[in-house]
Amino acid sequence: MEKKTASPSIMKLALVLLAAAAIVALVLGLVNHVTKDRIAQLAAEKTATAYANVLEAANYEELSGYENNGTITKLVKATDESGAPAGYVAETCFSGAQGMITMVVGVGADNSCTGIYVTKSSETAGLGALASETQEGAWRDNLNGTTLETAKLAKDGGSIAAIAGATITSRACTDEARYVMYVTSLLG
Amino acid sequence: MLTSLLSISLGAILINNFIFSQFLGICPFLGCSNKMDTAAGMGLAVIFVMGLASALCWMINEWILMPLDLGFMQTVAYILVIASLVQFIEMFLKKSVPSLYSALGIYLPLITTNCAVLGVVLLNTQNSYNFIESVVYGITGGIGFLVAICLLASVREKIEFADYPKAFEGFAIALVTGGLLSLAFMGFSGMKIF
Amino acid sequence: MTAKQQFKEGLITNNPVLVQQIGMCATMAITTSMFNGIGMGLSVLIILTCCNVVISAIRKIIPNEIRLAIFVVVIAGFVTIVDLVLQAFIPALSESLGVFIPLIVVNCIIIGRAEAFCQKNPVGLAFRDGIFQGLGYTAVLVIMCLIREFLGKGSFGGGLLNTIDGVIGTGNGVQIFPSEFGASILTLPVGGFITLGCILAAMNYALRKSEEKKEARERAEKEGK
Repeated sequence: MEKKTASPSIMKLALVLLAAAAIVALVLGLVNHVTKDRIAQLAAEKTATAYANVLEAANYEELSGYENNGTITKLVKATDESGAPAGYVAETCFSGAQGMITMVVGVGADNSCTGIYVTKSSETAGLGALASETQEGAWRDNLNGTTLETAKLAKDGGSIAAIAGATITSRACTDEARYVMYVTSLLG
Repeated sequence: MLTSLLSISLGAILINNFIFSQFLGICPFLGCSNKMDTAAGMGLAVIFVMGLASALCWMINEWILMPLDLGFMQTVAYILVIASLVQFIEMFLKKSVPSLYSALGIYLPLITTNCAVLGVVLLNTQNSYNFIESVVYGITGGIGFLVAICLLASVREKIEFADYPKAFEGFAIALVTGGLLSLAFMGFSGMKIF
Repeated sequence: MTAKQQFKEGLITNNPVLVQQIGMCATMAITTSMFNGIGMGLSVLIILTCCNVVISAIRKIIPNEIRLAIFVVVIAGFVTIVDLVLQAFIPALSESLGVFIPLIVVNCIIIGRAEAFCQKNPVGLAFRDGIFQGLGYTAVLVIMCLIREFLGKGSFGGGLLNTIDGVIGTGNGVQIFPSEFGASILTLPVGGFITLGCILAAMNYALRKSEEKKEARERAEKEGK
């Protein structure tokens, strides 16, 4: 018994699939258009908050041509209203325990760490994620005021206690802060 | 370069195992781990698909999506690539290696909905890996999956003859076992290569 | 199929995670705080309902050979929409759920319902099915969060209650007992596995008991006749 309706050709199937994909792409393009400004704005706000949190300054001026092992994505020089140097702020991206950590490091005029601010991380909740906490008394406060010599975990010969059960994350953040201080010390 | 590849590999297999740490690929992990042969077959197929998918999706992202500023189409593009890839592999195996095709049976199309495959591709993009790093992460992620599923299969084969509460029959006991295996794998966290 | 029947099915007798045993990846991965749990549950509910409605509406015009591919494209579309909206308006949720939002595309629940239900049922039923299955899923996520948060950290409502400066998604919730006394293993991946395993076992037990009661009742009725 012959089939009443022939099954559609490959061409027709491909066209239907392409049409569906095109419709979806159009709708997504529209949604993207509506949301992308807000997403970019949120990202900029987050960076601005991070900067102000680690080193408050009147002006930030981006630098180039500094020593970099690949982890520093942006280095800016901070100056106050009168133009006097106030230190540096570095945006860094390095590998933690579970993927990459994006962190902002502030270095004061005396080349000591003024603070760190983790903007993005996917560390284990309750362990490595504690490095991202920003409230009073959070772990990151341990790094305030440390210098090139003292910014090390206690296990590595320094004075910073690692987060219990999150040594890798603690070590990664501490070592990165120390590296930034090393780079800024070269700049004088 | 070599050290970063080594750390990606060890990370994918032991430290951040796709199943035991990242929870990607649980459905086939539980569904295909009754017997060692199906587990091994599924694992090998997943390695292959993950490696190829990583390569293809990297190329599509780097040469088509990014230059045209179509970043938001990543999810749609990636899943279409994976679905087509699995389809092609199925047709190819059916024609050239029919024994392998019949051995894998219905597990091959199931790889399309395997969170690990889409997961590894998305993670490659998120971590901004280059081509070689993406492929290595894909293949070693698959190896990690193979290790995990074979471990569970070997335990489940023994559990069949053990005495456990009837309520735990099926996935429940497999999940608890998987949890204990995950606990064991936690011992690897903190491993640093150099 | 009445709404009441669908409600009971979605939440209990055909619960996507506990009975159909699909969609477990995200259930274990993100249930470390109530904010994550409810956020993920609602996202899946919205995506599931929208996809159900669209797929049911176009079920008669899509060629059978490529229906899975079309399903996948539709689902990926809705997932991307939700992803972009979350990134723009609830960034805290987008960050804590991470890669699991785009992974909703391969969540077996959505493809499973599309294949099993929406193909053969009209839009109204598909809409209700989406909502109730989504509610069933959210219920399981909430229970997992409750157990893992309370026994693991001694807190309740992480990210939703007791937030820092009123920003949703921050803070650790109301601390019911000091977190040192909690079994912090439950907040790790191990805890996810074991908690879900135990909840599944509990559900198995409850369903089996109700089956046995029903059979005993029917047997008693037959003998009584």
